[in-house]
Amino acid sequence: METSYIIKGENLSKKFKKFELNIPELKVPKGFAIALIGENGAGKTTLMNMLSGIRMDYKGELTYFEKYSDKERETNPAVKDKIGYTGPGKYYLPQWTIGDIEEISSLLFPSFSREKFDEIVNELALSINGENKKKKNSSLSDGNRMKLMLAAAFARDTDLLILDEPASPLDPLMRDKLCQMINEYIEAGNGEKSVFFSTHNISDMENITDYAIIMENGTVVEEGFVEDLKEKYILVKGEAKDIEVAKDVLYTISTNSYGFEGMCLAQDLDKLAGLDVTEETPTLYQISVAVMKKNTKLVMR
Amino acid sequence: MLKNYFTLINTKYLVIANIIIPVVAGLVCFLGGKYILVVPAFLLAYMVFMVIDGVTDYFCFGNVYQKGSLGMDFLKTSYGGMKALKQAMIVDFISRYVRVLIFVAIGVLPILINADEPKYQEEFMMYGIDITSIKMFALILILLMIFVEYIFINVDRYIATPQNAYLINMLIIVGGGALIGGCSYLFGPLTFGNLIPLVVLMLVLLVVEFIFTIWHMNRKLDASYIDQID
Repeated sequence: METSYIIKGENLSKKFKKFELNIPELKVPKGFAIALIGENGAGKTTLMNMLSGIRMDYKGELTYFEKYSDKERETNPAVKDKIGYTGPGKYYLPQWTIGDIEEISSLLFPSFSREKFDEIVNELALSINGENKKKKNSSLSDGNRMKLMLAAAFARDTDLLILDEPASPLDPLMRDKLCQMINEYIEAGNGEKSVFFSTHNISDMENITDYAIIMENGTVVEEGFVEDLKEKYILVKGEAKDIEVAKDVLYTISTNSYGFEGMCLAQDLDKLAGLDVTEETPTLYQISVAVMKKNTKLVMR
Repeated sequence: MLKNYFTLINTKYLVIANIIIPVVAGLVCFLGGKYILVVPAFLLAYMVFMVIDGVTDYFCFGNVYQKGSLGMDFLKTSYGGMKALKQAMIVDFISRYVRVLIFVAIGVLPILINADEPKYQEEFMMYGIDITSIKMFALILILLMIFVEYIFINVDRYIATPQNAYLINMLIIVGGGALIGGCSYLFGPLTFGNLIPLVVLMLVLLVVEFIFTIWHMNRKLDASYIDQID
């Protein structure tokens, strides 16, 4: 099956004083939940801001829904209305109430449904039957603020949701609820709707992630469908006596006095023949940590 | 335009800035003028009006002219966000005239209507204001009030804290007061004839200031909001 892409980017770059984002090619597949993973300062938020139209002072080309440029995203209301976004805490003005946000969203987004918004805020216990609608954004906890943003984004008829760190301020139960919401959104789209989200909570979001893009130092260092990544990387555990041999073969390795654990590229697995090792399929979390470890500027011991 | 204004602008701001402040300042002016002295009462009311108005403006718009100011991300992610905000701000600019008119209707007009009462005449003479030109003089003060209001709009929206906005407003008010006082010296005895050029000058200044304010708002919102290289 040929993969189509909801967003394609070419030669994307943005320079800051001490940081540069540089992505020669970005491909976000259509109809899936795509996780953007990376350590702090890797450039995830910068990329998400570029994709959502918050930041436009970048170089490069972006194509949405396989036909619209980033300029058209700004000039064609139909394109912008198909993209939903949630971001960090300062997304709404602090003095706006839940009711204000509903009002303003319905003014700014043609496909915003008040009924759906009310339904979601009820479901997320933000406002039960219209109560709490006078509650100010500033008086909400970080988690509830995120719930409010999610309610406004999911209340629109969009084909792409760009969610910047949606899981971070949420409790485990709500993270589970978020996964359910993302799942339902994608299923309802019959291959037309996609969710592109950044996350540090890889374990919590793993069961809904179809495709992962891992960023380090302003560029994409690994990407692929999770199932393919799980075939590409193998988790290997072995005894202390084999550490020196394994070190030369493994992609990343952690050692202690009892033995080692590391990530091995499937293509290098033959090189471990003869060693007393066990092989396991890694989780997305383990793959992500290994890839980040390999590319980080942090000093890892 | 009005729909954008009423939706995007905080309801408390609408009520406080457009009704409560002008009415309270108008009452201070009227009651102070009627029972004590007109000019000090006007100056006090002017201070109340301008300072509270400026600080209220901060709580509604904050430092919206600065890059990355609060709430802009939300507007940026919608197609009509920038246009709606600009339209709401233009309505806000026009509402400044309405605010000053409410203040004038409550605080200044009742005194002007009875300006030939001996109590008022004595006081105006004390300040060197010719009673025949008092209405013209009042008009200049009102135009000055609007002029200073627009200076607020252009300056305060860069300021990130209400304390600083308050300080800046005080400075602008002192400047405005100095301007009013300076006019008396510059134009000599305030008579109907020599006040006409001043009224014309003020009207021209207000038109220029209004155009500048809209241009400035467009420029700053585009810069902070779109963040484009070209």
